[in-house]
Amino acid sequence: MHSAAPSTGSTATSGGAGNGSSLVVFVMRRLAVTIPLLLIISFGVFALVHIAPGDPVRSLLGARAPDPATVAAIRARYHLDDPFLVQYGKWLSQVIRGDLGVSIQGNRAVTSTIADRLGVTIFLSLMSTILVLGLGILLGAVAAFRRGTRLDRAVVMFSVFGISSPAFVTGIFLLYLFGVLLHWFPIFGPGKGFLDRAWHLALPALALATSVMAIVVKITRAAMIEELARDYVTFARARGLSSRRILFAYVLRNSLIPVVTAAGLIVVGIVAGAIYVEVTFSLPGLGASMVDAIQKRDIPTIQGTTLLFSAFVLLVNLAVDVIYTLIDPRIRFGRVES
Amino acid sequence: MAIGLTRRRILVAGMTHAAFVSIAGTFAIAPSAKADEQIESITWALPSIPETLFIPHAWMTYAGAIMSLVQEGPLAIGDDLALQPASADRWEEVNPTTVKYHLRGGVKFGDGSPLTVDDIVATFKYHMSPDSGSQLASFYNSVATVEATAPDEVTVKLKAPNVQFAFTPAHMAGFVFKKEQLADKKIGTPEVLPLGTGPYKLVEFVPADRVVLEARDDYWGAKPVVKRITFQAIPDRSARLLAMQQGEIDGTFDLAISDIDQWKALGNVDVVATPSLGVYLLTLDHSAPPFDDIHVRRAVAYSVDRKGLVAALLKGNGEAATALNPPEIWSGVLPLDEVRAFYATLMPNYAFDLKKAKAELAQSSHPDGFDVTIPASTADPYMVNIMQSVTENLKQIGIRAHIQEIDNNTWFTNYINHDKLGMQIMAYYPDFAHAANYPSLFFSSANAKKDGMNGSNFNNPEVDAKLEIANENADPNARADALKKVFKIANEEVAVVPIFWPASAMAINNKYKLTGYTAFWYNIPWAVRGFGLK
Repeated sequence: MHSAAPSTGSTATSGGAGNGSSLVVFVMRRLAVTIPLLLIISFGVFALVHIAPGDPVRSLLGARAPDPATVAAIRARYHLDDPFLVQYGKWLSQVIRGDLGVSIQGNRAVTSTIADRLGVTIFLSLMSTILVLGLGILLGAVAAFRRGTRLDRAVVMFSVFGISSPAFVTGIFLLYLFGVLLHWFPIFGPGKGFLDRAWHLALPALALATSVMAIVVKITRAAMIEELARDYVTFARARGLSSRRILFAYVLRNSLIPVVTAAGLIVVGIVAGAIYVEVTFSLPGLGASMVDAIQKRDIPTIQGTTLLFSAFVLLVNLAVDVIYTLIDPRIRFGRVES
Repeated sequence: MAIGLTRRRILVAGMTHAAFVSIAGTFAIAPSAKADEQIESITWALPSIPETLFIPHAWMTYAGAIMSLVQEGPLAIGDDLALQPASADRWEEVNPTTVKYHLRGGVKFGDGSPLTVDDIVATFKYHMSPDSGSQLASFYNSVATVEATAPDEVTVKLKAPNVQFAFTPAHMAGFVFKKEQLADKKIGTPEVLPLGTGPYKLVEFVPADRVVLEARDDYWGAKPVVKRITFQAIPDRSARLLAMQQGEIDGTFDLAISDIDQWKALGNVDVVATPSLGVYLLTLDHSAPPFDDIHVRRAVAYSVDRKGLVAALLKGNGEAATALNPPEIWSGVLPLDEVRAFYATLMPNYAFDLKKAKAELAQSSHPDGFDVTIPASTADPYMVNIMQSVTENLKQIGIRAHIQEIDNNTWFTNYINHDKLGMQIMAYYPDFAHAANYPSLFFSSANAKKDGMNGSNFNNPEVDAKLEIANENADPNARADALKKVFKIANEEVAVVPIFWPASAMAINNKYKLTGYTAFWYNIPWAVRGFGLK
């Protein structure tokens, strides 16, 4: 067992009072790396859209024979005839000034479009993340604690079933069951105000959660089973501590490290899955807008939304690394090398 | 135990259900009708709601379905697909290149301001200016000048006679904007909602999600029956179906024909189908081998099982195409029965016959067949399926055909750039019913180049000369004769291989009716064309 934990543990003990500042240094360093990463990603996406066949002007003009003068005017307006690097340079200089440009399709500032749609996507992703982590960890814990019983098998079966069915299929099933048959939830729309929105987004969030929950359930279950077999649990039991205390105070906390590691991926997966779910549930979110932009080669919107998504992924990963320390104080950053 | 659990669950479910229904009731927009035929509100679903409501930058059918209730042109398309007066109460063709539009008195925009000739002139000029990047610019290609020649008169002078221009003021290209609004860069966004002189005004717009319209009391025409119309985007086909079943929407346009049976099975819904005037066709590049050989083209024409495709893909909601023009599009030139009689005389008739196809290929310069790849748009509901059937048939006669499934943008860019055309599949829907429209687009040599629709690169001087008559001669008989000749030559030469003319279908809650549903539902104020309680 040459895991990192003992070595970080030993450096941590020698680290002493410098822990707080090392976290700040770590976060600063990671943030500094984020900027060149975003540049590389934005350049890559720009290049890919450029290489891909198709033409934004064609989708703007529809399936019709266009007027050549109009085509030329549109190409000039969006700098589509400039060399590739010049186009990217113009876009970048705009972004540095805080302007993501104007969408080719909607003739609207990309920042306005993002601002309009971000709310739905964030609400949906957050609701779904809470469901996945909350329900997933709970089910995983229950399954581990009741290992080998029918309950355990039912939980595992349910989660495998969920992951096997794509979110948009689960979505239609949920719509039919809870929308049409039971009339519990609305069929479309994002809702207004917090409660109404939560009600409108309940089914989409559940559909999205069902498709990724299995990962959390399985990881939690495996980690807990391993922890439950450890000596300290036997000792705790021998000392007559209650099952609840053992489960929540000791075992769950120690099992959370792998869950948190996976949480970064899960959150990113949820945001990616939101793209399908937004279409199924007629939600005007960012994912639906990005798919539409890609189909229409709306370069400013593609660039703006991918920039946002990439920044989000990088930040989630950073957040996950920071959360490690909160769960397991033995882990410290930037000290391993020293 | 098991029974107890079930009972409890049912009780809990029932209570939760009741609670939610009571909450739902307060949020749902329930369509209620009053005795005097006034309908308070309806919710209409569309597969998508555009990002902008400014038609010159959002020229698509779903934007049209909304904005044709808010805006109107000097003229309109009637239920019979012919022109009728709208904000202009009359129009006059002074000579083949001059048209005068006389403004109806008392027409107002949604904000109460009067419609003036300057608004019409500014709108037409907006489309004509290349800098504005209007998607509808090509409808004004034949226009030389637009002028206000009197306080209530607009005169349009054409560069050359063009009978197709007559329709421009009647569809989306003719929707009149308020002059001051056209100068506003934000027009079409939720911040600057376009004004119009139509029966409704915009009250709310959430891009890509929802649009709310309110009936106007000061509209010059008949008073709208429905007071409030909410358009809701429901992109997923199954979700739209469920919303209709649930009663959350009152109707929708543009049903996928393949789903029609499911919609009919809903019980509370009437499905209305009408010829869409659209056409699916194959183009074969006449300028390069192997399709420069007439026998190869005929072999392909014999290999398309049109009737089978109509039965399988359209479930009978459409017609096997014997020519490019759907019969109904000849409206105003030839009566329907005469069109069908004329089509029956077209020889050869290329009915599905693999033996004849094989025989034609054997006579060609490629008796052993060849390889060909046909791009098909995955966004189109039928293209890939049509090509699966066609390629199978072609393989049987020795032509090794393959489908390249690509996204819509790539497919169309490739087509319109005339880049390695070979064999292509194309779907086309018209903006107005004029018999010369399709042949001009697909058969004229002027369109056999980049940015042109003539994907066959078909080039025939006689056809060009006859098309000139069909577009410029004011006499319908002369136009009909010219067009008949065009179709005769196009058929002999296999200028294109027509496949089918699909129907277009809509669904409506069966407590309502809509008598004015036509192929041009996106160009007409449909909610005031016979919409009401049954």
